[in-house]
Amino acid sequence: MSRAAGVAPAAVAPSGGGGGQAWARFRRSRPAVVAAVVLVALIMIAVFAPMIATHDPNQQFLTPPTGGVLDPMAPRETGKFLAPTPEHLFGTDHLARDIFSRTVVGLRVSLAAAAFAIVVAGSIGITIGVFAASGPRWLDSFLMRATDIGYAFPDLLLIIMLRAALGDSLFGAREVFGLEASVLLLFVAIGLTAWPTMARLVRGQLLAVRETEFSLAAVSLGASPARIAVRHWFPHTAGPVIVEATFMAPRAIFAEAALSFIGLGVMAPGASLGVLINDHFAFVMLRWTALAFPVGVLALLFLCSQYLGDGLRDALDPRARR
Amino acid sequence: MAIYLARRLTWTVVTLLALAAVTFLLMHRVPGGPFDAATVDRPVPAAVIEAQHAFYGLDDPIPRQFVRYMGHLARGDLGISFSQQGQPVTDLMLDKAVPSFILGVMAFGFVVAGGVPLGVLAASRRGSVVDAGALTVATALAAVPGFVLAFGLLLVFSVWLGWTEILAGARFGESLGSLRAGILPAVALGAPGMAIVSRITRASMLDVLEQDYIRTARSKGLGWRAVYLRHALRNALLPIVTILGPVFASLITGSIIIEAIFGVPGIGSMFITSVATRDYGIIMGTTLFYGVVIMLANLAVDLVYPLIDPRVTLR
Repeated sequence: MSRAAGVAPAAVAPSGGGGGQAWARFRRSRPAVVAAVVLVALIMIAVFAPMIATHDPNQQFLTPPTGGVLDPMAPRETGKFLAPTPEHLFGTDHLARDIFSRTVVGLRVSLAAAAFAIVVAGSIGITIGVFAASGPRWLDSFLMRATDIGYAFPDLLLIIMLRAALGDSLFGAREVFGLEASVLLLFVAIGLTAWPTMARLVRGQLLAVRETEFSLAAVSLGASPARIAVRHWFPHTAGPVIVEATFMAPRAIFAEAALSFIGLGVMAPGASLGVLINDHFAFVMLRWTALAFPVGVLALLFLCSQYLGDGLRDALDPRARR
Repeated sequence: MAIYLARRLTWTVVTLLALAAVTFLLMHRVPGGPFDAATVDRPVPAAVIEAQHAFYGLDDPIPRQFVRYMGHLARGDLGISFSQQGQPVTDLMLDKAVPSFILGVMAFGFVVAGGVPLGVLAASRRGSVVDAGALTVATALAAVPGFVLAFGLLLVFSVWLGWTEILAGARFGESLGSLRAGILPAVALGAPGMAIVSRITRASMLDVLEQDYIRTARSKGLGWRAVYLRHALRNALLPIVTILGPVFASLITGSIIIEAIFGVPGIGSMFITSVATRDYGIIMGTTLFYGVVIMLANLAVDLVYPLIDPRVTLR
């Protein structure tokens, strides 16, 4: 194990088994299965958020003044800071908005952040990794040098700069896929800083699998390069890539939450888990449950991706150990 | 060794050049200039803006501005701040670097002094209540973002218990007594890293504990301390040190958020303000500062390898 400067050697998963055995191994890990079920449920909630939200997330449910108009002691308006009720499942916030509906919509934003970041980082990282592993030597060293540089950048600073530089519209449109363009560009910015890990992983896996005996055997049996790539290289790279993507999700979700929290991400009145945490912390002494819901969802998202990632790694790569 | 160091340092300079170029390009792509009415938040005559742009050469092509900036940088001149009456960026940053540096050291201390013993303890009592407890603590600390943890700590220790002032961070770094105000930010900043280090330590220790020489050490009748600390931990150090590089980098970037929450007047708060005010000199200065710190940390990790494992040679 030489770890002196450079890329850690990538472990090659044995080829045996294929999908069926991996699935069997995955099913045996109870935390991973539970995590997968919870994650699927959360994703479904996010996808069908408009139908699940009981109210308009931006509507204010202020009730008119009670008592006589001349009564100076009567509260002028109520409906704010409500505790959870059947009408408002998670209560209401400082602007008398329904917290349940805002949390559901916020969950949608957080999961979209993860999905976009994974797609952007994955496509850049996989492309660079494949070209570095299969191209000529000069291309490999050029791409890997670029990856090293990308790896050394302070990511949060870059996201903040990218977010500011990309502006508020995407090709002139202010809304794409039902998301505001500025929010979408935030996700792209998060993805643009996360690709170096993926590039290193893909290159390392491909270089390692190329040297294996079964790969050599396929070549000497006269298998076509396309067949080798599809039958041998792809399965060996896909597993670690899926695992890495799973671990990438919580990082993207945290980045979105942290940036929204310091006011550089999703803007008011938009709802994201970061925005909700920021809003609700202001009145945590009055109604702590309001803060507990978005924080709980965030923690649940993180824990589930972590356990799912661990489970997938154990299932797809039995030689990797925790 | 000298050749290795020279090559690494050259590479560090190349990376910093790339970081400078990317940041320079991005920051000039951000709409609005440092002297615009919207940026300074009061009406400004167009002639004044023009005169300031001409004076600072902001209308020149970006490549020429970049070359000029790098020329000044090579002589150690980081330029002046646009938003703070033309004070030198170097002076402003030196002021802000002290609280950031102390906070970073305290958080890193928490990561190492908390994570390593926790991991060793968990590994030495594998499968016991202690092990499960340590794993739960580590998972829980990593399951909430640092800024949420920061709020939780503020709530418990400042609001409910009243042990620290809520915004004590503002005077952090001024005196020895103010260091107490750094405990909560340091814990919030270091907690995710502490969780990772304890997990890695546990896994690495479990690997080592299966080795033959550990059985030998045990059968010789060596005590707990000799077996676990002198034989096992020393050999388990390599993966721990490897993870300290990325963990340190995450402390650096995480400090941007944590400083904002606790009101610590550090480099991170400075960077966020400078993006809003389009203060080009400060944006470049703070970004390069972070880049240098991260790269020096990675270099330090690589230089420590041969000290831990004599089989590793730096080439």
